Amino acid sequence: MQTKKFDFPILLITLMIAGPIIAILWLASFPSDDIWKHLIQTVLFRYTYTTCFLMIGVGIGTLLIGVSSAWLVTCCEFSGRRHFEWALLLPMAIPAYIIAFIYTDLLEYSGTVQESLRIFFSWKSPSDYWFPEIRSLGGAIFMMTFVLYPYVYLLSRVSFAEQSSSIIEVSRTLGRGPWDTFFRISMPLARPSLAIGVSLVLMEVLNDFGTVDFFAIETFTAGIYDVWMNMDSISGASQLSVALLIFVLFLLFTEKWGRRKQTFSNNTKTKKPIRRYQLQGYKSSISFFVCLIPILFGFILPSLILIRDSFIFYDFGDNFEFLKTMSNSFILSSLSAVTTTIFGIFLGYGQRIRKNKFIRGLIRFCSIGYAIPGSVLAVGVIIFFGKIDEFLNFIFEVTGEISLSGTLIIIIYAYSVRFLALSFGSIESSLSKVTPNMDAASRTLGMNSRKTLFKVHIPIIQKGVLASAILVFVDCMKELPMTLILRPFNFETLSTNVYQFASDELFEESALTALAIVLTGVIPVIILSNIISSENNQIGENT
Amino acid sequence: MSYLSIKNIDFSYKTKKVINSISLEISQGEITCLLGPSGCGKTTLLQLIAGLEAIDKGTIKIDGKIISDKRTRLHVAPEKRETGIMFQDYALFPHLSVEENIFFGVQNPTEKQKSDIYSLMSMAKINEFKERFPHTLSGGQQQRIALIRALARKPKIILLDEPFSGLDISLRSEIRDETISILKSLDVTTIIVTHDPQEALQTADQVHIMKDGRIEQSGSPREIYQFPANDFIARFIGETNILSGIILEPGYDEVMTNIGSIPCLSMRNLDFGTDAFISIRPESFALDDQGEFEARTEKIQYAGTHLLIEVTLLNEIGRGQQLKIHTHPNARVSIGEIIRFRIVPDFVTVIEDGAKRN
Repeated sequence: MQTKKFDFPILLITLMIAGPIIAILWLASFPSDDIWKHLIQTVLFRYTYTTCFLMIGVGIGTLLIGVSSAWLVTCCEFSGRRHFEWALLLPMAIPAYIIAFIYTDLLEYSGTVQESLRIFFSWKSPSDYWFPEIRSLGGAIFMMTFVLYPYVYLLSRVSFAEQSSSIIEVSRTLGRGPWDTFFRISMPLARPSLAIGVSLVLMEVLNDFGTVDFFAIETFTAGIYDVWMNMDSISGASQLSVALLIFVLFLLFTEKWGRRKQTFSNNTKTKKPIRRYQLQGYKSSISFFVCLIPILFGFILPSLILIRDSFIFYDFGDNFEFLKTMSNSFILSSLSAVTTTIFGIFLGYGQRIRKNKFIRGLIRFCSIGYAIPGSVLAVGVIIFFGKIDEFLNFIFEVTGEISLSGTLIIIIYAYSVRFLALSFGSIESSLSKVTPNMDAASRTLGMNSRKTLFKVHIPIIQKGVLASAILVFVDCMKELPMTLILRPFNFETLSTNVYQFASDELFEESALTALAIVLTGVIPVIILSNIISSENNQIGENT
Repeated sequence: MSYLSIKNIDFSYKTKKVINSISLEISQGEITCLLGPSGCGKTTLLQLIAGLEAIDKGTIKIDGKIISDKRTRLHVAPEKRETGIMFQDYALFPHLSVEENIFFGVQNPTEKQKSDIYSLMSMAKINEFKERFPHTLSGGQQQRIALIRALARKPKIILLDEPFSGLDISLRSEIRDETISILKSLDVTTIIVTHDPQEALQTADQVHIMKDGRIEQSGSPREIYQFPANDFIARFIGETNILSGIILEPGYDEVMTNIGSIPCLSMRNLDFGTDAFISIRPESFALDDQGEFEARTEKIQYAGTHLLIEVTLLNEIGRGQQLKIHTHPNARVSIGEIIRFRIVPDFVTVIEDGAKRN
């Protein structure tokens, strides 16, 4: 069944992904204005230091919360466990920049908390008491930890659940207690999954722009934006981008290592449902709070604040503005979801049909976008589209008349590059359910290839296609840095609108907009928790 | 005095009673088989002994020491019980080498322990790949590592859960022999859980047959096969013919059935005149031209070690009764042929009335 008809589209998609990356590397190597020396003398060291510190902090934080909650809900039985299983995913719905805006509002000097403290203790000025500064590196670590830990939670939960219970039991009968068994068996076996989870978290950390910008933390991501927008040096921005890509490469390597090791760690054939430790009394209460706290601070409290602010600050006379922003976001995200999913289908089928190593390598390469921070990608896309515009104008012999850079196409393009991995992943996994023998069976039962496509393939993969579209849609709705950099003049989306208001210290007034983003973000959480509960039902049937 | 003593234990999984007041005595150095169909509770019983589940009622003692007791709420943790367990999937730790797997349960081994374990390893022929990782080894090699790992701590009792069912048929009997000889040479008390009657008969000193959370019969393999206690056991272990009848006068050891009076090896102390069932193993029939039974063959199955013939009786008494007969595989019989045979009492026994029991 070797057919080459997918090769051309795959080649085109590869070019599309590679274009912006090559553009950055090119401009960084042959800069028009070399500010590299200047950067080294001034900010480079600080960027590196802050970025590393932020990554380490969030890495440790997400590991602590993610692993402990995942272990409790998979390996122990305590009150509320079944609900925590899905509720622990909820913080995923809130983008880091939104939670940062919310908590700043709550915890800064003029915020509700400090104000109440001042009234209660009759303090007059900041010198009367000490209160941690939320807009700091430590604050950013907390904010990101509370919304990013679900990645670690999800992966370690699956890993703990897949560990055969007999392995744990053997360790017990060989004289190791529950804690010893956890550190010697469960953790080492989960290590590959944890590596994947943490690298995904750290990719998000590098991608984040809203939080670090708002907190005035000098990371690479913030630096790229600064060098470009304020110093007006796109060469400098691409040079910083290259430095940031080195971090990304390291994370990608870690993630790939984890994926390679994962298969070998879960090699037992028969699976018995896990025998959970029955927790009672204080142990049960402690577990309850360990699971509740991240949900409370990562979702419940922020959502309540948003809901309250939406009622208080929403200007009902001005609903047209909100609807316009909403429809901008909706149209942009829908178009991107459709485009990206079509690309994903091409890659999925290419992967299925072609055994050629080179083509398969290209397909793998196409998923690299998810690892590249939005601001870096935006820089690359701008440079790339500049060249395309020049080329088009040259062909049609006009000057400066045709400009794709100022249209929505450039944003849809950037979204597709960044989120293609999401789409490809869900289509690939649904396509893997259509085994080659099914094709053979259908053909020998008298269906031609077109009928096989409609009667066998589409019914089986339609859920995967839908999942792909939804996931991409939601991520586009939340996306901030690329949208901010690439949007046409005066074009507001939900995320840029919230960012704008927050920058003007008027965050409460955009609470409804922020709430809309959070509600969209809940959609994938519902999908994921449905998957979890159907897994649970299957386990129940097996016993 | 018995080494492992289980008294009146109960265990329920959620609302389902999986173990129903089981008592069991096992002597030191003995190989015991828990045999039963899937879902009979045999694996659960193993987990209760290992302490992986806690009993709802009763007591478990090993070597005179109580390790589980419901009344005093005593439950010794599995890591403190000195029971070794080997699972069907072997449960080898994939991130540890063969040697690390085996030494996992022996923390800070002494020189003596080390040399004991190394000699165990050479006995099981796993010395040459002790540096390798489990996933690079064959099923038979993995099985031996799991066994040695469980034995390395010198457990008081070793529990094997379906130890041979993961192996290819061609390997199974060879590895089974090896395993049994290792266990016998160490004189270690062993409990094997299996659903394979053949395996239980071939490996065990004592067999306990379980069904629905109860022990149906305990005894040596020979006793179990020759004198099955009821129709379930008679059918579960091998093939049989079950007939109903009435016990004749005491002292005659014969049961009057619809095919005539049949001599039985065991009468189960039933009074004469009572209704009874008997089980006649197919081996209890012998082809004989002078035999008292005449029958037409209906179906013939060649099984290598024997020939299974299904016949319909032609005798005046019992005409139409169907019977299963085993003969030497060399016998030349064809379908529709009239044959004659007789009964030898070695494999005929009175069994409990299944209908009364329920």
